Amino acid sequence: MYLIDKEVKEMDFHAYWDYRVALDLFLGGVGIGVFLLAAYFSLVFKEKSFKVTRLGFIIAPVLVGLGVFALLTELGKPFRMLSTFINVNPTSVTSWGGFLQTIFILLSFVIFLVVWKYKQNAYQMSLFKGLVIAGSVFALAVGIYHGLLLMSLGVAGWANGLIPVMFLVSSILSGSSVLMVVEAVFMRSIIGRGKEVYSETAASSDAQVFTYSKLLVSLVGIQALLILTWRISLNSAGTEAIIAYQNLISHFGVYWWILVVAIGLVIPLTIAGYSTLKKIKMNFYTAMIFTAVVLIGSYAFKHIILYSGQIPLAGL
Amino acid sequence: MTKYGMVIDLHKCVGCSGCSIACKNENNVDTGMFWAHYFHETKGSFPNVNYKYVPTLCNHCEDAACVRVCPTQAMYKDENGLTLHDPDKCIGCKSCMQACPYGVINFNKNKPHRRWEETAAAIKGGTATSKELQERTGQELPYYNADRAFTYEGIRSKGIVEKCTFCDHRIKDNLRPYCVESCPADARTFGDLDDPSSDINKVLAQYSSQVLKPEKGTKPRVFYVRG
Repeated sequence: MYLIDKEVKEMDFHAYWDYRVALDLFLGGVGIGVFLLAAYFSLVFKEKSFKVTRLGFIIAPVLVGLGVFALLTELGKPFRMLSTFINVNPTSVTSWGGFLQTIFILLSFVIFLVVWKYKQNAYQMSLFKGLVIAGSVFALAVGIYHGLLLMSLGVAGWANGLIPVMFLVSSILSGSSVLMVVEAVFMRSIIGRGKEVYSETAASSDAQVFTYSKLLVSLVGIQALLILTWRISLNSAGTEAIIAYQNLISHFGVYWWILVVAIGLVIPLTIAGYSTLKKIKMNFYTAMIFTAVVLIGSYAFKHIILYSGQIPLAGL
Repeated sequence: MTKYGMVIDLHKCVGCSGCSIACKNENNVDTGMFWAHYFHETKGSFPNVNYKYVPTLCNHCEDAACVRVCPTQAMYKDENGLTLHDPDKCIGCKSCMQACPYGVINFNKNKPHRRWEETAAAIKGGTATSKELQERTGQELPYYNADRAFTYEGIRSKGIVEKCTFCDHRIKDNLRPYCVESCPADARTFGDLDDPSSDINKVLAQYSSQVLKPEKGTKPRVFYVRG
């Protein structure tokens, strides 16, 4: 039995979830990406990464908090948000999200307070390490939750196991890029060197040197591979998945190819790939451009996936 | 154990939309939203054309997606198998609307029943305005069914979702849902699916039935026969 009249569906279409949900997915994603890299720095490079990780640990909860705020404004009854902590539904991924995001924000804020209070000494504290590890677990959980939330709803455009993974990688990529720029902008010593280096973090030690380019080119590469895999998987994922993708292309095709693929993947892959292959350091302006295009790509990716998934499947 | 369901005989249904109007009256459903709705489709090419009018409403699914995804348990299954909504728990996140494969959940984006505040007459000089009617009757909502409020909010507030309840306020008094009661073609049969002697089981035994989007695995309890 054919169930839905194409004409009626097209007429009735409007997105139940608008750009504010996309902002939550985007800002929350950047936040957890910043945190994860800052956490890595703090565990590996310890107090040598003091300046950048201190910034990272406060930027992360602020960004995730801003995302949650954007989401709250989208709710019909935002002041009832606390009821998600009381009337818990274990089968609802949205219900998990309230806990995950709150715990993450609190943990990362506590970590920032510990660093703020104990400064470099904090990095030798076992409490600090424990908090950072716990924060990282929750950061990963929040990053996966963003895509899982969409996937769990059973909507054809979102019901793909690669959606949470793509969202997570996009988040880590955008967050890492932001931390790179934050480091470049806020750490005067680097800028003072004549806009030169900064591919190696201030966290570098004699034994280990962290290179942003390698991380970023890997992440962009993985994301490109994931999107390609996701696209191929749609071919055998059934009629609904194919139509959902056709909806994406017919409504957002230009934005998808330009913002997500060209700006969000090809340009950063070229920049970071070139730097890695040539073993040269990205200068300040290149890093700024890199981060800008990655952020544009990340937001566009999440926005388009969110909106296109809500387009009715004509003919089904 | 009671398990309520409904059968709609598409051969009897004449597509008058009486069910939609009756539902609106019974449940105080605001302009722009429907608890009882329909879709239609035309298939084939002339002269072999098939036109189908299919009334829709909440399917009160056994494995309701809306119940699964609701973060606050505002959507729930009651002991009679009805999928109901607690307006006091609803945060208006619209997850249920996203998850419902049938698009039968409505969201109160604005203050409901604002049309009663309109000051323009339908026919200028010929009819009263909604506002005048409000003032003359002394009622905020001149047409309002107070019975609805026995089991659910009589008027659902801005910022929450709402949907068909199978007229749970009526069936608790052994009355049939109002769309069933008011259907002029007697196309709807309501009853207990767990009762072998119920009318609904007799209809289901007589005809082969279909449900909407069976592939979604929600096990709807609204069945269609003679489609």
